[in-house]
Amino acid sequence: MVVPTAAPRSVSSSDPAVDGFEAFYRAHVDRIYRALAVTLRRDDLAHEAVDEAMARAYAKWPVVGSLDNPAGWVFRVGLNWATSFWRKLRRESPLPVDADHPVSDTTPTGALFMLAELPLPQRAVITCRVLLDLSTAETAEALGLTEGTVKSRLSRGLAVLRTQMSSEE
Amino acid sequence: MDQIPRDIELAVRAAAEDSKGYAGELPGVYRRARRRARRRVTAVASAFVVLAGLVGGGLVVRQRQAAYEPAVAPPAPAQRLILSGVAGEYEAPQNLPTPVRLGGNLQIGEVSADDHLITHSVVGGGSYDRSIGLPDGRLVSLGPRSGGAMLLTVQSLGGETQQRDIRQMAEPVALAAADAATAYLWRPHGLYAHDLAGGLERLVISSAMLDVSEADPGAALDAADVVGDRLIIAGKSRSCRPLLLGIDPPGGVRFLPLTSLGCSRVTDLRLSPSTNRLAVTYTKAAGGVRVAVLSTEDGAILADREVATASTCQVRIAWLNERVVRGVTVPPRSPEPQELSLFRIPT
Repeated sequence: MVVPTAAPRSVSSSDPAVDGFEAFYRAHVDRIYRALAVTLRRDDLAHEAVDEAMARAYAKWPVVGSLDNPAGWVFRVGLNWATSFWRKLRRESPLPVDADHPVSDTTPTGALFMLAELPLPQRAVITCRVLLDLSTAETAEALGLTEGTVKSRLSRGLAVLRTQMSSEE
Repeated sequence: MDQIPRDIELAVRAAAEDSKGYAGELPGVYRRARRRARRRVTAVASAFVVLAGLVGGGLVVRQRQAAYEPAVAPPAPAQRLILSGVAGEYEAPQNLPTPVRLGGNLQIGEVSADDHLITHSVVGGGSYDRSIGLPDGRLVSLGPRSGGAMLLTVQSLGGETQQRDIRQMAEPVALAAADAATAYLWRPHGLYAHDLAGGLERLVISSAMLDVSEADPGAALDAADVVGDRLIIAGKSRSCRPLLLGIDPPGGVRFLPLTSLGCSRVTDLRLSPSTNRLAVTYTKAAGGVRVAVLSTEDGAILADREVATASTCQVRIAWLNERVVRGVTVPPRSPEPQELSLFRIPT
């Protein structure tokens, strides 16, 4: 099932702002979490990142809720928070793999194994496009990139994935 | 290429479905948002208080010059200076005729705010690995007992004692820090907050997030301290680059490197009560033990002083108030009573 990206606006309450955030949270949090888990390759870090980003979204919901893609905003804030933390800790070294989210080809598609071969920026673009259902323009806006950069990263990432899938076959 | 092939899309969705799924709850997000808001308010208020203090300080000083100043007991220190892990016989700083014996199953030492060596006998005896003095007079200690137990002891000034065996499945455990309500413990999975009243524990930050060994995080660190919602650690692999972290919520803040001072290993860390400053004891390759004070805002070095010429000396430090670090230099163990050397470093 594809969940709509835009936050529902029809919830009525004595505090529309709070109810609007709550509806957005319930509709999107699991999907954003999964997108971050795939991008970061760590379930625990993705959990912390989505909680932190949701808390920031709640604090400024009148602004965030009026964006075209609040889910994209939350994804970017969570991704920046997580990668900034790890950049400080690891000096740009690759993110470790969570034992609870192993990179292996034991899944039917070996999807995690293939995605693990991609650099984080390419994974972020692909997860935005596939898991958050964002267009190229929306992905560019959400990640703070140009459309050209998004297309370039998408193209390279898809080429790697295509090669891996062909070799599997 | 702007379109995602169907098979790749399915593969990516399969990878997402392989994740465990989000396990958080909305109230947790609200609590996190409130904590963020409170921290911002506190930061603004602290800045205002400091500014008000700077502006008003001159007036206060002028008024006190003409006022009568009665002899009063020194104010209670912000942090108590406990001598744990320094078993031996010591000449008392107040020149008492009888040396003071610390350690073993006898006594834990403390240097009072007026520089007297006082002792505490922890009920139940035994050998305590670490003791932390709380400002309210209680002493929190952790140490092994026969039978494999690891006792966390909280002892009040009146002698009332609460003891709890906190060992879990023979796993290593170490006391990192303590405050009025919580003892912070290193366990294999990370730093845990142990509720002193009820004994409930919650994971504060995982070993994986700190990039330390999951076998024994306490042993993988040269030093650590927790004050408020801040954690500072010096890992053995990068001892001279202590890392400041937030623990509520967990996240990296900044490194506070001492490499420019010629540091070879950090031996102790103490955050000031407001967490705005960090006092560090460290050794140099050329020998000697030094104490540095850093700003946690930008890592600026506010003070750096040698407190022992031999690297084998142990140094214990604590914040007297927000600006003054006091400490004691403990010479290497000897059959003869040793002399403790006290120091203060204003910043």
